[in-house]
Amino acid sequence: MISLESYIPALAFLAEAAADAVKTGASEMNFGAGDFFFYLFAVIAVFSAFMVVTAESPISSALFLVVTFFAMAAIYALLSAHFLAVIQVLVYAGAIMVLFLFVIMLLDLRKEELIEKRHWLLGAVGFVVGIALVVLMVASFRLSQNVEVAVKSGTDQEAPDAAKFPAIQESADQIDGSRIEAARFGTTRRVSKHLFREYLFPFEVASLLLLVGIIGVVVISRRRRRRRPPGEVIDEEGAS
Amino acid sequence: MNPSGIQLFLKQNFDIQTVMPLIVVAATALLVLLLEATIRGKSRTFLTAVSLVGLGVALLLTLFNFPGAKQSSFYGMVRTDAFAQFFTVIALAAGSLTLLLSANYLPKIKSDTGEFHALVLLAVCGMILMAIGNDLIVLFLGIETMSIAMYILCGIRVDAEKSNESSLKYLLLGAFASAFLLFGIALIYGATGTTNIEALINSGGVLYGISGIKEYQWDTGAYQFAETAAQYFFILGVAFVFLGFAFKIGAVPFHMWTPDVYQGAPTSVTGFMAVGVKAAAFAALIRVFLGIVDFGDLYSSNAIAYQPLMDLKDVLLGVIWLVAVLTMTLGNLSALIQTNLKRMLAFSSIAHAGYALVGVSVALRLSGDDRDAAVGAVMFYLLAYMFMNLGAFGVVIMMNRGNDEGEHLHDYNGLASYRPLVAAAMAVFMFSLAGIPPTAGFVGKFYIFSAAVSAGTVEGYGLYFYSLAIIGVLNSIISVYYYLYPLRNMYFVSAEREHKVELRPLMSASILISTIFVLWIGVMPKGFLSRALEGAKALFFG
Repeated sequence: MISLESYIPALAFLAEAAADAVKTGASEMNFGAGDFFFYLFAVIAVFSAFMVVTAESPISSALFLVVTFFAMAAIYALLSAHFLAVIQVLVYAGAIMVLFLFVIMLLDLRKEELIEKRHWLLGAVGFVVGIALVVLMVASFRLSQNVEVAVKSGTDQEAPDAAKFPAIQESADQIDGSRIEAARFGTTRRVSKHLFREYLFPFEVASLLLLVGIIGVVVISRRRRRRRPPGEVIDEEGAS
Repeated sequence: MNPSGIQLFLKQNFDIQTVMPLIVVAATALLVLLLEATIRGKSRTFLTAVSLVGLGVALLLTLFNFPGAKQSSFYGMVRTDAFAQFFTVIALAAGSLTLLLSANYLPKIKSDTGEFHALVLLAVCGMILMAIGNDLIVLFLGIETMSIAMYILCGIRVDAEKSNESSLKYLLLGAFASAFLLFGIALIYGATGTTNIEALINSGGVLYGISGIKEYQWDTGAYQFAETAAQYFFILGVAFVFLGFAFKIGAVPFHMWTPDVYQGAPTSVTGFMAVGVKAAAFAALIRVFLGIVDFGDLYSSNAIAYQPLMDLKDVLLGVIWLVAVLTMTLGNLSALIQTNLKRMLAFSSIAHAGYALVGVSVALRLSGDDRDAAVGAVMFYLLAYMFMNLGAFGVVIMMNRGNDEGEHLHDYNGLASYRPLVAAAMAVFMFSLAGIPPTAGFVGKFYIFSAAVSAGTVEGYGLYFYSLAIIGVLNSIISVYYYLYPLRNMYFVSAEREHKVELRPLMSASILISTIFVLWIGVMPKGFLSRALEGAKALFFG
């Protein structure tokens, strides 16, 4: 059974990882320019994300969101996912933000409407879920480190039983290959290669999905002829 | 690469034939949109005819020209096996019957637009994608295509407040459920490095990026944990994906949207939602869950570290057991007190999702031929349910007199005296929904509950599944009361006044087809069942 006990090693591990980080941080300062920029943008991203939820005015929330998007784009670029970085700026920081600002402007929220009381239980649940996700996140970080170690020491490991795991060897090769070409994996060329080969079918299907959305907007927002009862002449623009 | 090699490559990865029904339906949708824009003022019946021809061609292609038994294409994104074929047929048939029902109904509710036909066709496209999808990404895109089309179809009566409410409620809650689904898919991808269902099943479902380092530094505690960490992601991902599907099939406790959405939507859309969306969601649910949580003895050598993963199947089994019991019971008890027939059918559709979930829960426990029988029973049940439920909604549409009149139970008083054939058709559908022989509903329930009983013979699971079968049968008995109530009104209560019930040709054809199939499946289920079993066998890559 999955029980609470299963999480105890996770928590223990979390503490251990934190201690580890402090120890390594103190003993060997192995800190390159890449690390510097990563931490810089990471701090900016986390800080502005925090401000998005805590800022009082919706407009400043939205503007902090822009900052978060830019910082994320910078981190993508550092991870050599260039294509993703550019798309992040174009689509999120550009198009989506304009949409958000329009919505905020059109809704025209008053200050008193913004202040709402939330039940304390909701906060408590949020806190617990947040902690659980942090445990997961750290565990996943540790996990990815582990894979790295394994690939480096490739010859040490026993070959997996191919009959039982036909996909394993393939996947190990994939990891190997992607590490060799890590610097190039996020280029436009690489992304488009995947997009128009393995993911060609979902890519085409996505266009169908967008078409449904467009038709939907037309159907829902199309102006209907309204029949008013005789004698009632109200010009909507004039009245307001 | 020599020419034959290129041909082979194209055949394996870009075989258009595998998605031909999908292309035909999508092209018909585009054609209908163009026709709507260019020939204004003409009767919409023409558009219905064009759509029906498109669906008919796709149906013929699916039935008689479906590619080989276990063919996957587009780099494993789609898989056209007998299972996919079965659910593609259900999607196409549900779409056709819905369009037939809508032809005379749409002008009555003043929302006779060409877009309606196109949206129904595109929703069918989404359902086909869910049937043939062999990758979580394709499944997600299919679910979204279908759902977004359904949100709009619910709100197609732009002037009616109830329709708007229905659409908005469905959209907000549906978007939330989709987010859970997508998050679950991301977690599964994070744990295993793939979204391909076939790869997930072949690698024992899990962690093939991780299993390669299984022996590496096994003695140190830290790595031991790190190695097993991915299984928590996997488990969380499975839970979230199940949550998303549970919403789409309207299972308790994610059923709250169903009554309001079903009541507010145009009746033909309600019927389409109740059968099409549910069948497609069950197709995806079965394809995803039956394979990827079954690890066999893959991790038995390291049972302690992988204990949560080994337990996953049993936990999921228990969850589905509980959800099935709650769904059946709550759906039936709520339906008892309804006075609006459309709302009653909405609650009854919740209960029917519960019966189908019984089969899924059983299939998780069994293996081999027994499992195929359980999955086949669910598929068969969904087919039977499509005809009986769309037929019942067809009669509700026929009784509609503009707006929402004609949906109340007392509107059916004395119907048998002035429209005996309509009353007889309604009687067939109600008997079938209640599960009384010789109708399709009886056979469907019989197969599902007998699968539950056969699972009860598995050592240690007797109480589990015998009780499930007993609860299911008790629920069926409860449901007889509210299904037979309209019949009492029709046959034994005299009408205060006769309502005008028009027998329009297309609508009558739809009801007639449904009646024929309900009786046909009920009397001679063998052919249908063997197709379902074939589909179930194709599912497990063996």
